[in-house]
Amino acid sequence: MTIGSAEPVPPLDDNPFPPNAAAEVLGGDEAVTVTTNAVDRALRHWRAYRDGAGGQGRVIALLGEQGTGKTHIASRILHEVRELPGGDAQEIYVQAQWGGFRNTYTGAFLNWFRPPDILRRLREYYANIIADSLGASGFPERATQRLRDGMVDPQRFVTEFGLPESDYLELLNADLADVTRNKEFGAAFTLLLRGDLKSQVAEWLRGEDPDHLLQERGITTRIGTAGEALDAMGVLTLLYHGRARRFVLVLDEMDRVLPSASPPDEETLEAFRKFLKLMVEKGVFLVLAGLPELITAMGPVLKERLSEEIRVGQFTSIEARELVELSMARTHYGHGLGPFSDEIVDYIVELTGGNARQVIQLCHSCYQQSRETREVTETMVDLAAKGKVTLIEPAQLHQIVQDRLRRLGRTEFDTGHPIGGPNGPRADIWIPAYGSGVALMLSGALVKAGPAGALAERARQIKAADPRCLTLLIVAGYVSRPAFEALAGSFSEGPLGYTDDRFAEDFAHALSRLEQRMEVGDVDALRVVRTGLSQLTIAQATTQNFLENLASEVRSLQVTSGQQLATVQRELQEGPALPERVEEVFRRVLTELRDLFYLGAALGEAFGGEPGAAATLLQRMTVDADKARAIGVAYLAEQVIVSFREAVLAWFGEPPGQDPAVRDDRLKALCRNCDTALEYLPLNALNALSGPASWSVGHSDVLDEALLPRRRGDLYGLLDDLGAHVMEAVRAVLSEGG
Amino acid sequence: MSPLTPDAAVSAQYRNPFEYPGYAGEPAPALDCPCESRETCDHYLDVDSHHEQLELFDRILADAVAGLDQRGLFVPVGGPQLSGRTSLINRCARMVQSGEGGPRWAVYDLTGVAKGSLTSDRRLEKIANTFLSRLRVPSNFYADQLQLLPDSVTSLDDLLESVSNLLPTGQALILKMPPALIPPDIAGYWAATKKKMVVFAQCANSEVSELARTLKSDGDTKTLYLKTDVLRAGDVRKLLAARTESGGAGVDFPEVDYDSLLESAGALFQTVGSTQTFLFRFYERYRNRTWDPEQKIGEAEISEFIFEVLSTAAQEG
Repeated sequence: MTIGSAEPVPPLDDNPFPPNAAAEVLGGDEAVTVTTNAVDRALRHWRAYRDGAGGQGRVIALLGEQGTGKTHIASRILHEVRELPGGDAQEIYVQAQWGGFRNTYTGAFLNWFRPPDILRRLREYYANIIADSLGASGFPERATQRLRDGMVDPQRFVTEFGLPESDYLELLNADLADVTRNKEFGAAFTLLLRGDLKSQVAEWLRGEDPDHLLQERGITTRIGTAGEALDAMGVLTLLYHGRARRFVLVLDEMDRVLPSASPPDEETLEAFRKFLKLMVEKGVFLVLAGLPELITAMGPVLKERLSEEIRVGQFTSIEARELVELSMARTHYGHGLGPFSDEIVDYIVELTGGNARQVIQLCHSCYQQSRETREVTETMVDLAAKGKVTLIEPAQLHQIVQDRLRRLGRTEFDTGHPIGGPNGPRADIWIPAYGSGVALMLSGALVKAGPAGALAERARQIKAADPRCLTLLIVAGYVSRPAFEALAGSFSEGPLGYTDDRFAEDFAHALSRLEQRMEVGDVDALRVVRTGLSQLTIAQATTQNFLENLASEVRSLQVTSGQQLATVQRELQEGPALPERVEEVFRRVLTELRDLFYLGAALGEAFGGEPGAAATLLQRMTVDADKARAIGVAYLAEQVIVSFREAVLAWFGEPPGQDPAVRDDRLKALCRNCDTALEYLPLNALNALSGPASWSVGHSDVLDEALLPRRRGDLYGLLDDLGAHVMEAVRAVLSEGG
Repeated sequence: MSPLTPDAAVSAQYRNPFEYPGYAGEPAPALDCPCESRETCDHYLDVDSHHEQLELFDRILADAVAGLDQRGLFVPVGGPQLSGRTSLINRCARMVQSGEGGPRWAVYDLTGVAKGSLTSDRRLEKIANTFLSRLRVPSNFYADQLQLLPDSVTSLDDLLESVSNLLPTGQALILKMPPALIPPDIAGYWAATKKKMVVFAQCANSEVSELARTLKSDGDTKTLYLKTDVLRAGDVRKLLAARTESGGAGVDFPEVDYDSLLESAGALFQTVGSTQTFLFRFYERYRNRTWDPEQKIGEAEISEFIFEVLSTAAQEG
């Protein structure tokens, strides 16, 4: 079918299975829910809390393997929280971060608490303190209610009535001291309310060392330990709780906070015990989700407060069938299994072991494949498992892993290295460490047990050749249950799955875990390795934060991107311009990048063309999640470059007479910033835009073939050293007297 | 009820008897002050049951002042905001000045200096330099002696040491320091206090207790502690009577159902300051004559008034 024919345009993608099968916690409620035993138990607990008289909180633990649907269950609860009448319930969802509670606090929890929001919550809390105090002295209930309802500014109230502010702040301080053993939070919040030292307090809350001014005011310790981070989470949760009658806090992926090779230390356990006690006493409904190891590591402490331990298991065939039926009800198939059959569903469950995420991923692909035939076959399932779920080719994976190692400063690795002697078995990548090392093996999707068994055998041979070495399998794609079982016990730990968004983080942590298990006799050497790996962990956390911040910036940029581009274009035409040599660097990289993804012209032409052309174009673009993601990355890169160009333009426009050395330093800093930003972008995602025309519409005459992707290699070269190229061009211009 | 026009004769003499220190720059009317120089002791309100203790304190203070040639006197005054600490300091300073046969006094009020968010060292330095600039006023009776002081200083301690040494016999200073915002401030004031000077400073009661525990009088400095507190039952009526009776001509405070007043607004009568604030506004409201002057003001009117004030504190946005 071609655009322009008189035939009806096919419906836009009605595939009901989300391609990445990841629960959308903060989004709408569009996911299908199969009421498994775990879902039923979790919702019953939440509803009992919701409908109860309040006061006491509850703690439930959702425990299960990756992809079993823990986050989905949490999202169901959060959805019901959001459906309650306004102001009656609040919720916080936090995905735990690798490296412990402190990283979770600074890297995820604090994202809910921007300084203005903290101040707003604090004032609400303060208003309640004043209302409680006055109410106890017989002040009219109607008046205190105005304070509680947020109709009266508590600070202005104190001023208008000439009340002793210091006494109320002391009450606030004492109240906060009551909920945390750390009195410094009370002191910090008092300063915030007074309007003093806001930025210093904000920095301290972010985990920085207390400023000298804060130290003089009694805030002397950094939020640096797990205990202090849990204290901070507790006290901020209470602030956020505010007047809401119901409060739900979800801590997802809790296993990440656990140390990899040893149980949590006593201090952390004690702090966690105190945190749980606080949550229960203050009426919070706390959901802890994570791998089953969580209960092993935290068991005794958790069980003191745990209302319910819910094991989230694999789908049975019946449950998988229910999932398919519920999903099909949202499609044009309507009632029944649609293109699936009972046998196919059973086969999918067999391959996936009933892992919910994998079931959904396979269903997504199978549904897609069956569009024409309207029937899913076993071959399609196999193809889905092998191909569609495979994210990248093994050769690309090889390159990515090597690139990761270089970025982590591990340049000493070797490829195809024989282990235990010249004729020994070979690892795909060998990372030497003091006479032994870590053997990495890389693979595409593993569907059948046979190829997995061969990999397991190679791992055993490597281990036999060097018993001290450790082995890690990295799989770029799907691992079926039979394949997983064939691998069991052969590698030093379970296979590490490649995903675009998490691989860098997961890989660094896997290396860290392996290192901790490594039996190295040389203590000093071990320390060196540990130091290096802990730096990696920090680097990863930093990267995560950086990307999150960058994403946030780009979100705001999106709003004004049109104007920005227009501004740049206008400046190019009529306003201040860069010297041609410098402009050429920007022009080249932006042209390459926009050629790869720029859609404006294509869409413009599509809208000017035949009816339905734009819709079809969008459908082609978004039908593949990888391509859609690549477009996002390309857009992000474009924004970074445009912003960098504007900064360089502003640098050229600075008034004369400044110290050349200072100006040079400033330019260097700009170039470094650009290179750092681009370095952290997952540019390899752009690979998805290579190959055949990604969203061309056959032989349509509305799309210009010139817009199709090409020259990716050139683009990578330009992006890699953009800062250096610009620096070089600027210096050349200056040396020419330009 | 339509507003009534205030009587012109009354208006001419009108003064709200509940004006409080700092209000429109005006001092509050004199009240029942136990000190001898009652006419100059503007703000102190003796509604405190510690009257006897205060008399005892006066005697101790007088003894300490007599020994100023040997060691300085440091008087931290603790209490909640608006509890009358400033009034108490003013009262004590007046009392010190009025002592017969004492030194010739110069009084420096530094209470408004260095209010920003500063480190304690920096705040003390700013206080020192402000004090130094005031010392240089030529009209000072001891200005000549102080010509030897440097142009600027970095330490309050060093400056007061120099001043103390330069002051001739028979001359002394009273310093009213800015309220101590953090514990190092009060410690700094204490350390800087030298012979021939009395230093007053406001702080929280908890800090006074801490000081009393940790800072003992030594060879250079004697320390006397004072605390104010919240009002007790009965104090409000006493204050009301004192203000309306001694507030001067033109005070026509309405007849109020006192029980209703206490029931509805008693929670707000925490300190002298908060009580005065309430009554000041209450009297202003009465002066607007929207209440029937013939009618006793009861619970409904008081409640209406409270909600009027609440509306001025409404949350913005």
